[in-house]
Amino acid sequence: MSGIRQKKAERIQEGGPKGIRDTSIDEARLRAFLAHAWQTPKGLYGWLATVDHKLIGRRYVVTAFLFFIFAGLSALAMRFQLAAPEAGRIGPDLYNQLFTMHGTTMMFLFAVPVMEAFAVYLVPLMIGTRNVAFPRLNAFSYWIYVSGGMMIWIAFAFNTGADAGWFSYVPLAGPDYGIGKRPDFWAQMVTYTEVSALAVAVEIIATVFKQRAPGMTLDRIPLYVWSVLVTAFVILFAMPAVMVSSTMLILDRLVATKFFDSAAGGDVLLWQHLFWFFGHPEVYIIFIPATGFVSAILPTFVRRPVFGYLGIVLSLIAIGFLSFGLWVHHMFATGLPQLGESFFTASSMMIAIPSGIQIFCWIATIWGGKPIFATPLLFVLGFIFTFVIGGLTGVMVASVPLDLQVHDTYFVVAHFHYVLVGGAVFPLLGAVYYWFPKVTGRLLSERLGHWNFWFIFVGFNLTFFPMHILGLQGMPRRVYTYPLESGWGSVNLFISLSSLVLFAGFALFFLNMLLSLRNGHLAGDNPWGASTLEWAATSPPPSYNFPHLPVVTHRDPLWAEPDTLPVIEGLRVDAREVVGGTVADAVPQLRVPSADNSIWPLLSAIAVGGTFFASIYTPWAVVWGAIPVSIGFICWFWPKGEPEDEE
Amino acid sequence: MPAIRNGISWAGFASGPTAWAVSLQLDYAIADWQCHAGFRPTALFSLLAAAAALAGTLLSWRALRHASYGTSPPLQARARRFLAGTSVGIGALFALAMLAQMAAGLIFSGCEL
Repeated sequence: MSGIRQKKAERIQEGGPKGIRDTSIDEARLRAFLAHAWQTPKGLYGWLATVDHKLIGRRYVVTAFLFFIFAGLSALAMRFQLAAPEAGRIGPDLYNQLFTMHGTTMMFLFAVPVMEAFAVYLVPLMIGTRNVAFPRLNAFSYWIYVSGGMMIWIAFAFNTGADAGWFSYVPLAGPDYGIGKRPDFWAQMVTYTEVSALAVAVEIIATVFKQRAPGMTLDRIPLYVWSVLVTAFVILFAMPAVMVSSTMLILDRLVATKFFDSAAGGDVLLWQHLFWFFGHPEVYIIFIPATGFVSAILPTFVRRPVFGYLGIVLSLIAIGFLSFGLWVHHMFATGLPQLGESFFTASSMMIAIPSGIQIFCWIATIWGGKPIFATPLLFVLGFIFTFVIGGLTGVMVASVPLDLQVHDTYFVVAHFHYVLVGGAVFPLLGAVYYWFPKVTGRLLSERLGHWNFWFIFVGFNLTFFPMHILGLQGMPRRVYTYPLESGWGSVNLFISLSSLVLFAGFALFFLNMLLSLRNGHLAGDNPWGASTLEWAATSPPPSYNFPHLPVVTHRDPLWAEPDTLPVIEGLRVDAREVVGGTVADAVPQLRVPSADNSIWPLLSAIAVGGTFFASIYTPWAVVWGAIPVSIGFICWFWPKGEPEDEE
Repeated sequence: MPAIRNGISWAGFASGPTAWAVSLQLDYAIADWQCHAGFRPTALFSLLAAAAALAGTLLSWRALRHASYGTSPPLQARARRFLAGTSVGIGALFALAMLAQMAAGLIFSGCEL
């Protein structure tokens, strides 16, 4: 690095333009400068202070999958109890905690964060920049997320696990019926994770709008990036509703406000309206990025551009908007006027149209291509099959009369698992197989991958399809047991045994990752021959992503220009800089400094997390907690004389 | 007006979702009133909102046919064409959603429990 210091000193003496630019130095020195400017320090400090989107994205993914394992084991425990009628293996209190922790973890701690994690890792690479906008906010969001998740699981370990369902309905979760501090831990966990999700949403929007490679006009943005952009907007408008409602819940419980107390002028249904105004878009916050995975994986494995690019973008945006007009279909059984309900039936039916457009575009893409049945494509095909079934039952429960019949039965459990596992987890697993070589430099085993797919596909369908039948026979959800005379025993036993096949499939998935990390074949930069920019970086990518930022001249840049991508020059290499451009046409406007590593996001997250945690017990925590929180934020933003602080 | 003659690329994008959001909230809020109103206000509002969405769609359609108008700067022709195409689809889809709402307003009197 002494050469770097010498070059800096020479430039200062010469009085040339501020900093060292990438125009006048050879490739080796360019890479050395960039590596120095964008490096994460070694050791514990570097681990805690890094703002590298790839390190944070990887961390997010691993943490989310750890929570997925916890939630999966909760489900297995429930199936163990339900395998036989009137079984006494798990009591009602623990069962309530288990299904609540399962749903809460899957929705708040796994599905949303893992989708955002992929975006944090992939978006800068796919749009040809060096880091996300607001990199320190990105680090902050991770620490907030992990502390919220740990808090609720540690509470569960101490028999204070949330137990009122993942939607924590009042009055069950209110001051009159909520047991101990269980609903409070749930409510504050929501605050942690939603703060984190909102932070990532803001970063993604700013990154996609302002940091795209020159030439990446609106109609050249990769479909996956479109999907996470739409998702980020949905998060931005949906999540405040649940943050407000969970705060109102904790206020009702802690300082005796009466937001949800009907006897004192409050409104119980207000909770449901606020929760589902978030809760239904939440489904699409999980589903839309998954469709982005599909649109990224399909063209690569059928060797042709995706069919109907405009139709897919249009559908993504339409789904994003429409997702806000469906929430009342979760409340059809609450006694609302039929005319009012029917408007939401209309919107619920209409959302099938953009979803259908996407499905037909994907089928046309496969139809016009030459499919290579590698594991990522298998998961995409599994997704199409499974999601169509989930979509059909979705249209069924959008109808008020049918919904009233199957409400709170296992039919609904089957429906949303087909939508969420089929619609999101299948593409997610495909995405892991697809991008694992980029992240680690090694390919996952294809042989294990095929076994993995078939175990999960067969195990999933055997587990969840019979639940439709159980639901139609009248078996209610969220019951810890059922009578022998009900006749549901044999189907439940079949489901429980099938869940072991599904479990084995996921065990194979994790085994494949562990084995391939050490022994997988070396991937090279673009092992699948894909078309998007992330495959132009090395595998794994360096800290600065690209030595020169690329210029985009085509929607599939690596297919259009397979040998050498055009690049732009003029950026500093001795400090962190990215290019900022116009929103629609991505015309470069200015060089933008990118924040360096900092320990303050972590320390601020500790202060914020500590305040959230203490406010479970006393409202004064908000007052006293404001002091360390303010100190953390002031120190975070205080200029430290780094090159990135210069104007 | 040149904007009407040559179209507005983002008009359907703005008019469709906005008209839909307003009409959904309005229809839901007045659902109780319809029973005593003597006519079907929810159907009427949905129809008017659908017309607003279609007006925006029409403007986007015109922009699609005059994609090079008023571009470069600030918007290149390809971005304008893409935005206009997306807007036409979104405007039409939301108009359809509001027509479905209108059907609901015609089928139910509002007096059902």
